[in-house]
Amino acid sequence: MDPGGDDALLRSVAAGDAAALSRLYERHSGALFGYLFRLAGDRMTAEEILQDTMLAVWRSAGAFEGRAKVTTWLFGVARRQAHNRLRGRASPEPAGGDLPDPPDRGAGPEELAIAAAGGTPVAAAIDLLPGHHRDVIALVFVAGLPLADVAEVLGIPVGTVKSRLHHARAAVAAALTAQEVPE
Amino acid sequence: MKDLLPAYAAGSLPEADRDRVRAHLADCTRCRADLATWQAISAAATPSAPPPDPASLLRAVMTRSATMPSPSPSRPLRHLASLVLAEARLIRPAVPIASALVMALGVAVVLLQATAGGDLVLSLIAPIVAAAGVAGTYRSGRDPAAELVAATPTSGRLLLLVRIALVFGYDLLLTLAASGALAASGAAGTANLNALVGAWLGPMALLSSLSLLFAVFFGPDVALGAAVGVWAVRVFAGGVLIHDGWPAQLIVDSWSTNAPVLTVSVAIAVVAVMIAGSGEPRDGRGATHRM
Amino acid sequence: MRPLTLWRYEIRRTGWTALLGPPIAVALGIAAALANPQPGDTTTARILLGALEMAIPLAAGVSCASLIGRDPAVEIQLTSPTAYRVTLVRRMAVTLGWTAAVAMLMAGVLIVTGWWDRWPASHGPVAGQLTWLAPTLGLSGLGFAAGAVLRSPGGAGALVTSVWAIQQFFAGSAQENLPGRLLYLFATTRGAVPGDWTANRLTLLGAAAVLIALALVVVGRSERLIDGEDE
Repeated sequence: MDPGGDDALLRSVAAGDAAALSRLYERHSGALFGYLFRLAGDRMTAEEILQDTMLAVWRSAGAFEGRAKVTTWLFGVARRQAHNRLRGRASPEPAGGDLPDPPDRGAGPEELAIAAAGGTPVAAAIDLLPGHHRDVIALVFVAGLPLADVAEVLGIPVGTVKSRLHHARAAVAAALTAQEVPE
Repeated sequence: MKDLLPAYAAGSLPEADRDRVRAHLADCTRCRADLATWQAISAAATPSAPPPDPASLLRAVMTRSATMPSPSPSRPLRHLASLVLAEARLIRPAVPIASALVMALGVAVVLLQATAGGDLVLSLIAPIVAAAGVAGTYRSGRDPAAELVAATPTSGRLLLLVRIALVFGYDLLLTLAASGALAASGAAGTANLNALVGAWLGPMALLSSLSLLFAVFFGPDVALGAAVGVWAVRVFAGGVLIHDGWPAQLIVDSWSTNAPVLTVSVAIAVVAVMIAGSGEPRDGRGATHRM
Repeated sequence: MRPLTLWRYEIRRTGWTALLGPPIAVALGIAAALANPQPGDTTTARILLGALEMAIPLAAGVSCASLIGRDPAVEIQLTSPTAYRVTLVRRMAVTLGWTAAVAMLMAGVLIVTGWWDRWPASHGPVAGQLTWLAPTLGLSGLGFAAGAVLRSPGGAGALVTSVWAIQQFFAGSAQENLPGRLLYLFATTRGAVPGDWTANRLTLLGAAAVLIALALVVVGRSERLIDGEDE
C-alpha cells in the first residue's frame, strides 16, 4: 500500500473528485469494514457506519492537514462515526482508567489454550469482550495498523496500547474458559 | 520482544523488526507458543464477510451528501470566537485588576490636585500599563500551559494574536473609560475627550509593540525591563532635567499620536508576530529554566 | 542545606536581566550627563545625582516587583523546609544588595571626583547615601508588596513605574502638602523644603519596612499562592 498515493488521493477528494473517493475506498474497504464489523457486531450496522464514514471523509477531506498518515485519519473518522452510532450500546471507550499491568506479560496456560481452541470459539469469545478491547484488537489485527498508529487513533500512549492488548488476550482466555472449551 | 509479537502476527511490523523476530522465534519455544495465541486471535478477529461493493456504497454516499446542507461558512468565525473566549478564561483576574488599579490611581491623582492635566497623567501611565500587559502575553516556557499550547493544532501565532488583542484591547478600553471620566468631570486643566485620547494612543501603541518585539526575542522578563527602561528615558526627556535641546525634543516628539507613530507600531507588532512562530522565546530557553 | 549554598543558588537564579538593571541605569545617567545641552557644574551634578536617586530606584523597584509570580512550581517551594517567605526575602536581599553595590560604587566615584558636593542640596558623603538608599528601598518595598498582592510581575512593574513617573512630573504638587513631601522620592535632586530632607528620607525607609512586612504577611497565606500561576 503506497502511502504517498493515499495523500494524493485524499487531496483529490478534498478538491471534489468522486472517482478519487472511490479509489480510496477500494484501497481500504477491507480493513475499514472488518474493523467496523468487529465494533458493531452485525453486518447491517457495520455497513451503515461505513457509509457514514465515507460520507464524513467526502465532506471533511479538506480538514486533513497531512500531519498524520491517511490511514490513521481514516480510522479516526471511522471510530468517531462508530461511536456516534453505537452510543446507545456498549461504546468503544472504557468507563474508567485501565487496570494495572499484570506483573508478567507472558502467556499463561489459559492464554496458550487460545491457540488450541480454534477459530469459532475464539471469535465468539472476542464478540463477548467489552468495547475497548474489541477496539484495540480490531485496530491491530483486522486493520493491520502499526502500534504507533493505533496509539494515535485511540489517543493513548503506545505503552497503554500494548497493555490493553495483553488485557484483551487475558479476557479472551477467561471467556474461553467460561465457555468450557475442551482442551 | 514479547511486545513485538502481536504486531508480527498482524503483519504490521517493518521489515527489519520482522526479520529480528523471525530469527528469535527460531530459538524460543515460549515465544512461538505466545505467537500462536496472537495468530489465533488474529485469524478469529478477521471477518469473512466481504466489504460492500464500492459503486453502490459511493452512490449512497453521494446521494446523502447532496441532500445535506453545506457546511456553514461561519465556522471559522465561530472557531475564532471560541478561541477568544478560551484565552480570556485563561487570564488570571489579578492581571486586569492590576491594570485597572493603576489607571484608577492616575485618575485619582488628576482629580485630587488642581494643576496637572489629565492628558499628561494618562500619557504617562497608559503606555506602560499596556506594555507591561503585552510583555506578559508571550508566554515563556514556565507557563504551565506552554507544552499544551505547543501541542494544539491551532497556530501559536493565532493564539498570540488573540492574547495580544485581548490584553491591549482591555487596556485600551480601560484608558478610554478613564479619559471619558476625566473629560466628563472637567477637572482643572483637562481637555476634551479627543485631546485626551490623542495624548496616550500613539505612545501606548508604540511602547506595546516594542514590548512585544522584545518579548518575542528575549521573553517576558527582558520585555518588561526594556519597556520600563525605554519609558524611563522618555519620562526623563520630558521632565525637568533635560527638557531643552534636540535629543529631548526628538524623544518627546516620537512619543506622540500621529500617523507615522501608529504605522510604525503596527509594523513592529506584525514583525513580532511573524517571528513568534510556535510561541516560545527565540533564545531557546523553552521549557527548562537555565541556571 | 547550608545557608551559603542557598545564597549562591539565589544569586545564580536572579538572571542576567535583573543584574543588568542597575548598571544600565547608571550608564543612562552618565550618558544623559554627557549629552546635557546646558553644561554647567550644577546641572551636571544634578543629573549624576539624579541617576542615583531616580534611575536606580526604578530599576530596583521593577526587579523586586518581578520576584513573586515567576516560580513555575510554587507548590514545591511551599513544601521545602525553608519557608517561602525566607526565600523571597533572600531573593530581595540579593537584588537590593547588587543594586546597593552598584549605587555605592557610583557614589564613591562621584565623591572622589568631587561631583557629589557640587549639587547644593547634597548632604555630604555619609548621610547623603540616603539619597539613593531611601527611594530605592521605598520603591522596592512598593514593588514587592504589589507583587505579593497582585502576583503579576507586569501589573506590579506597571504600578511601580507609574508611581515613579507621576512623582517625576508632579514635583510641584507633591510639595504642597506634608504627606506628599514626606513620601517624595526625589527630594535631593528635585528640591524639597530643606528642613524636611531627613524626615523625608526616614519616612521613605519606614514606608518600605511597612510595605515589606505587609507583603510577607500576604505571602504567608499559602492558599493564595497555589491559586495563581505565573504571568
